[in-house]
Amino acid sequence: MNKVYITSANTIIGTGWDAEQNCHKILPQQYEPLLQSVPTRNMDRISKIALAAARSTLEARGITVSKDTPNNYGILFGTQFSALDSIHNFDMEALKKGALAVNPGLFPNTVLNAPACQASIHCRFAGPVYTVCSGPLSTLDALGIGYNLIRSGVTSMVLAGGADEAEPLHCAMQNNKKEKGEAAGFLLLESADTIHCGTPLAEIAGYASCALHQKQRTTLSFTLADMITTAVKSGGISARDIACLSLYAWLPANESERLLADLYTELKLNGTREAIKTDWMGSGGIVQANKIIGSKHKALWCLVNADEDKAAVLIIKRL
Amino acid sequence: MNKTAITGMGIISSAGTNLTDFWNTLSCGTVTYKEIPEYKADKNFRTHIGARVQDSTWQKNLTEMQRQSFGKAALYAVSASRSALENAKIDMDTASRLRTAVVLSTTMGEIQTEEAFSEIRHQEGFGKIPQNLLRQYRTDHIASAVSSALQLSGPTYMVPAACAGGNYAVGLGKNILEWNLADIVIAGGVDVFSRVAFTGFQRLLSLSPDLCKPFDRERKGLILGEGCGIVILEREQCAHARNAKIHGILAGVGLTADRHHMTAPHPDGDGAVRAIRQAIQEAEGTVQDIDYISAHGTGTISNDKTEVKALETVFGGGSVPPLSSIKSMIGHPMGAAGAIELIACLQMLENNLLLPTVHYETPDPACNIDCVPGTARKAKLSCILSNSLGFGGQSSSIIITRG
Amino acid sequence: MNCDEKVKEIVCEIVGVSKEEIDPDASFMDDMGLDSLRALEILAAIENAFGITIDPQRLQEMTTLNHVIKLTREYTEADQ
Repeated sequence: MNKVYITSANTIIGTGWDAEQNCHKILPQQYEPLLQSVPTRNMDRISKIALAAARSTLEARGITVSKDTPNNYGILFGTQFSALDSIHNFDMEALKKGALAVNPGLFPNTVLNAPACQASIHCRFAGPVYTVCSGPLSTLDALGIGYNLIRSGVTSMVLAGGADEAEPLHCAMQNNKKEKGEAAGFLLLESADTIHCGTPLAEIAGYASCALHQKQRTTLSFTLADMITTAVKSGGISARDIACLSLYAWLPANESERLLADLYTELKLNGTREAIKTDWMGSGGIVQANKIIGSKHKALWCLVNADEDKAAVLIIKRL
Repeated sequence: MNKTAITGMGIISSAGTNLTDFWNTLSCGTVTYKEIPEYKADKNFRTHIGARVQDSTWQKNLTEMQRQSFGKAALYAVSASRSALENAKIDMDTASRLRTAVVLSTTMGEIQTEEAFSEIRHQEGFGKIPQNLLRQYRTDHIASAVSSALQLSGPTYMVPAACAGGNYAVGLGKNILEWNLADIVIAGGVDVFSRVAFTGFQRLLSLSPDLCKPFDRERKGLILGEGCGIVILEREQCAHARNAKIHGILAGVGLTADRHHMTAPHPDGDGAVRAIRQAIQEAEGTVQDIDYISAHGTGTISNDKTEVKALETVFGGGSVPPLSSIKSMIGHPMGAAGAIELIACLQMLENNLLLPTVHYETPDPACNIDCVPGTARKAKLSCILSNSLGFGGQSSSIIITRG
Repeated sequence: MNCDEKVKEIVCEIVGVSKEEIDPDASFMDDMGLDSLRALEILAAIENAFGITIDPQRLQEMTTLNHVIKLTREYTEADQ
């Protein structure tokens, strides 16, 4: 099994404020400058912010992949909603003006894998291109699948992460009172073989993901503790070594805090803990991971994502 | 390494909603697409042909509550998953007790839900869209519906990959078994008939006004379809231990990207060539081992030409094994295509019979291949390659061998 | 605005070249680097603007501004 390193990271976090939607929005000036030389006519916003994040992550590592070089590099694009807004807008146009009035140039935006493919086309990644829709777990599951693809030697490098938008349709679909936020980000994951220069920022040391059926939901902290134990074990470490526990859950803030406290006690931890309050849609995982990379605290982090019917855990060692 | 066995199949297709009907329809060369009256009545649709699932008996293994709360794609997925588990002789208790994963793919997701609430928005305004429809529209709820309906506890992934989706899902399913994240994987693809897709493909001039004629010089385009294909994957050792019938071994998977264009395939079939080679390499085989190819074969000018070019690059001109496209009978069920074609391949393997490409009349110099024209053909089969290529340059190939 | 001017305006908007700068005989694909999807966009916009239905087979003729103008004239005149 290969060790899996994080060698570059960039996450665009919305700095605009939309009071009506109660939401931190990604502003055009945060992604447009990152798309220079890319033909973006007819490209929808979700593809643009995803591509901007992917390009800047590669750039930070100093990697440019040429068009004709064969490679097996993969893309793992986690997203709760992907291009749902583009699909809906395309359909509304057809309903308002008739099916013949649509612009064929916009149709490619209406497939859910479009943002991931734009990243593959413009970053020249020629391996597997996965779009991972796991609701609020989307980006964490994308990181977990990417970790396993490298660990098992299926590919040698992946861009894993994702993006989500918070347009009125998405906010209506979320139907909660939480403050919302838009984020788009990727981690560059590599095996020891491909790291020729530079020092890795972190190592991914374990991952678990599962569905939660009725019974498990009533004992959620036990189930999550079990998952964490399994995940750390696969990396050959102990749950006791976890120094920072971060939870991103679908629950209201106070219930999220309670679940985090239960989990902390369950695992007999001593370090710090944090419950993410903002609703980042599917981007919660990449926001959590971004925090680790931004931190100087060289420690073992445990990221937990929970939705009402599924949960995922990722273990990251900041180097 | 422990091989991946395919022990169960569940199908919902315009060619049949159970395995027997599906096989009988296809082996007789029956076309299942026809004129859609509501599109004929709308002057905004210049083509009116589609392949929809007409038989509603697939719903019988669903509860009333499921029918009320899930979207159509989720219902297809739940029903076909139940049928596949039954076909694998895995009871619900076992599926629930073991780590059973769900990996599904799609092109458009829960699109009929979107179409329903768009009509409401168009007529009455955004505020009138009911919350239950907004909830249904979440793509991940398709896979979650299967997990919750069957009370499963393994990883649950929805991995949209356009028309390469079915192969992407079974590919990840195989990985999940190898990574020991699950004991059983329910994998497949689903897409429901979509007005949005019909509208878009019409404007791309990709829809045939009459027949779907893959590889024919006179081919005019694809015919949109729908459906769901689900397979049950487990480690070969486990399948043997419980004396399960093995329909086939998922021996190799190749997943690549063209990195060329959102709608046009790479002119040399770059992604497809690498996907086919990767699948053959992973299966530890050679090109000589392939007895038959289930082609992507959509019936569009560019797809068929590029796919044949890719095959000639891998196999050598004049040495491409017999291939056919069942899309000539069921149209293109998009994200479900790969999984539905996989099921057809497993049935071909079992019956030693090649399904035909129907309505093939005029050879195309750009597609100089044997496409099993007209009627099914007997053949000794032990190794099959199946291709699925999608929007965004997503390319995928899988290889199945006899269990 | 006459038919030719209207076609020119549509094409210029889609190919992203100003009306003053466009070479009416330059090939969309070879000289301007456009892809097949952009040609479809032109076809759809022309159909919608003039209320005509262009035979899909004739898409391949729509390679320059002058060719698009010629084709549009043919259809609009046939309608009158």
